[in-house]
Amino acid sequence: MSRLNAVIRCALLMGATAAAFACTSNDAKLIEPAPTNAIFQSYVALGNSITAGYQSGGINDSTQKQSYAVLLAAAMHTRFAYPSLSMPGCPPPVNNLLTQSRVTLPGQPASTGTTCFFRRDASVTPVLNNVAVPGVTSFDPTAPVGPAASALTQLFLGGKTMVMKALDAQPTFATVWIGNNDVLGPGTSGLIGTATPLDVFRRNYDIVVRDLIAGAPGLKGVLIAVAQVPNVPLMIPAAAFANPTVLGAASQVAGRAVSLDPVTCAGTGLGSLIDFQYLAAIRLRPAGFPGTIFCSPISGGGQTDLGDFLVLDPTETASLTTLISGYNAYIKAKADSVGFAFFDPNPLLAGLKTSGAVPVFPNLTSTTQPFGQYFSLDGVHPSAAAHVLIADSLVSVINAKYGTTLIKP
Amino acid sequence: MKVLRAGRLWLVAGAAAMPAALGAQAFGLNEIGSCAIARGFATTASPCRDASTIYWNPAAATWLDGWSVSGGVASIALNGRFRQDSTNRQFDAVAPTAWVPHAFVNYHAPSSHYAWGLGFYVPYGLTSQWAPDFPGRFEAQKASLQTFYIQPNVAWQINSKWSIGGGPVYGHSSVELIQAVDLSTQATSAGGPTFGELGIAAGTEFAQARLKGTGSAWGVQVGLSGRPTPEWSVGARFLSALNFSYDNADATFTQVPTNLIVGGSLQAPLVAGTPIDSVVAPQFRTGGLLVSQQASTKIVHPAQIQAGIAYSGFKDWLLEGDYSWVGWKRFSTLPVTFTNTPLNFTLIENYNNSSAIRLGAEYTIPTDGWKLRAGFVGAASAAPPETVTPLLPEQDRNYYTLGAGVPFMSRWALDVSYAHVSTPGARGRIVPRTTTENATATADQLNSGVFNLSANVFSFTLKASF
Repeated sequence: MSRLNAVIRCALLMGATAAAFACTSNDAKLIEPAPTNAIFQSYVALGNSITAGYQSGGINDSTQKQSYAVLLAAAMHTRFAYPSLSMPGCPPPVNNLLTQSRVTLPGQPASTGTTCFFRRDASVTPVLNNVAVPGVTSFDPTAPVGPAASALTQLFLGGKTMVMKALDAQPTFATVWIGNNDVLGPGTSGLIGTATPLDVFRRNYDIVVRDLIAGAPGLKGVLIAVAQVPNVPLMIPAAAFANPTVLGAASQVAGRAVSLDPVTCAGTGLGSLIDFQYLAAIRLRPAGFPGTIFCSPISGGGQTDLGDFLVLDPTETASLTTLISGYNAYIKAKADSVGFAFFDPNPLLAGLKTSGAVPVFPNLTSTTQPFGQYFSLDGVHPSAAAHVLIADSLVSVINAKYGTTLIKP
Repeated sequence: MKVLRAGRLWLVAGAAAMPAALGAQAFGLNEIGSCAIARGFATTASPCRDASTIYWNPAAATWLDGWSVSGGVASIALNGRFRQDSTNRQFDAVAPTAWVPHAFVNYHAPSSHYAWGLGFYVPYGLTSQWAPDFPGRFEAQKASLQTFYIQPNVAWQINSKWSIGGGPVYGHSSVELIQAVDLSTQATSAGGPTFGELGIAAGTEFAQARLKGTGSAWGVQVGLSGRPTPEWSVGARFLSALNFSYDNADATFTQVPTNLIVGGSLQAPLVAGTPIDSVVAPQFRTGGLLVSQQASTKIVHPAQIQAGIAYSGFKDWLLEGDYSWVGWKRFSTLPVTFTNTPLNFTLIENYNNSSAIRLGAEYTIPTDGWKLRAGFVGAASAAPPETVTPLLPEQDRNYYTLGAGVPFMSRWALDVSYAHVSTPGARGRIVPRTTTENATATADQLNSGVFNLSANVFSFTLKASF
């Protein structure tokens, strides 16, 4: 009846005044919330696991929503579609550091590292704004099937390259955080020779930025520097094991008494960084083998790999830091050349470590925050709290570069 | 891998047929006689003095004397566009101009209480077409509904003031729908995930579906016409619903390359590096679901009621106001069935009955008999907010009409008219809503952009009486 009344009122009005375009519905209903600035009309986030929202060795809708990219989009007041995964995820995140149990739905078999629940039906949209895929390196964003291709590559990109998928959104603004996986695995494993060489990284990165900008003329954005692997909480200074409390906790994880090798861990050897997973490797050793931590490669005794594998000795750390700094110098230069902003998260991440917000050795008495409030249970990926810090920093960088007025999340 | 369903492949053959008409509510058309158009379709109480009264009020045929013949055509040029929220892109409709004919003949012997006639008119129809990159092409890429009614008519003059009339209506309708088919909505296997759940973006066209068929139906129209005083006239008409069945329609499917490559291994055959097109290709071959086949659907052309009152007490002026009602509530679902039953689907329309107010005026120039006409119509949308689609971006409409009647050679006259149809714009969806997909979704959840429509209608009618 109200519809009819509206029509009658409209008709009478029109008849009386002959005014042409009166009786229209409320235009406000037709208008979508506008972004805070036109440059944020369509924001896309390219990246890897951090950008995708990977935490605690897994990813699901809960962790995806905590990504800095989602927070940044909210600050921009712009639409932001991400490839939401059904619970418990693909793979479901770990929810206990010591038992390595994973998020499991009630009544379902216990989740494992190979459990994979697909995209939520509601997330199947024409375009995505978060096109980041866990695991990708600088080789992957422009490759249909890159070296880091995984099930998540298909689930998130659907048969397109990351750059193609980003361009589907006709972006006006982009953040690009690529390169972490070019050095993360080599760094935490101690096999830094497998890191992407600087010249190759430059070539790969240039292609990514070139293709992105070519497909979106006028694009603005931020290029984000690669995180320094030595700063990740998973990497524990050998010197920390001199603390009896740490040594006791490490022994608990390793399942036997742990000690520092007095030869390799002497002097500068105490500056080595030991991957927390070294302790898990000790746990897997046959019974009778000692729980010795070697701070640099040794030979003989069936333990040749340890000390090389899962350890960054000072020389390797220096080399890796230099390599990453080289990456970042190139990224900054690239940002400058294309008119993008540049954000280096390393001071922020390093500050968390030096301030004590990230424990030197995981707090095993905490099942939810053994690496502190800023890192998730895998000791590598930022937690929700860290994503907020990253988003805050990006807001500052963007406002400074583009004169916008984004408000920190 | 088996494709289980073809999304809403065609969304409707029927619904299919109706968008861009924009001549009345939903896929209704009012462009039946240039005089009526110019008067804002307010012609039930005091119909135009020509044989088109067979449609506008069958009873009023007795007020005509001798032979009356009329015929003409209206051109409907639609301007439609859709602005997508997510990209802020605007997509313009590319519908061709529609040509809507009408023809009537009536005979009333001056001494007789009866009038006899025959009408040919188009009360429902539509032509819509969107560009190949339109994201809503999975709802409708191109649709054509051409329906005409043939109405033998008899009117009886009860006395000097009242008449009744009516006749059976035969309707014939042809429909053609071309629609893109979205891979993301297809199931990968029985009970398995959809391609969308495996990462394929919504709106990934992997096939084009074409449905073409015809149907016919019977109905009736009756009217009442009165002249209680020399100045006042009243009238009403009722046109019944016609239920069209488009059986044995031809359904054909053509594979469209997606050029997608499986980016990471899932389950066979979705192995990294495999072209998606090769995965779905078997569905287009013998034994597949998307082979040429028969299909059927039903589209109700709803009932109409219109009543009005007219006043001619001002010298040389005729004023009329009408109320119009269309029973669109009958258009609640649109079932489409195929030879390959897994393709079956039922669109949810959930239309509401709709109303319109029609106001018209006619001034006769005393010196030469020219008629100057103008009108206004306010029509309420029949579609609920969750059923504003590319197939039919239904929304409230205003009509601003004007025209003229030019007599010549004593027995002839030429009527011309122009109407501008405007809409306020309405949020709408470009995703399907069927009994199995988005059935419970709200308009806020479904709608992803704004449809704006307008139309310009030019019409002429040549008529004679003798």
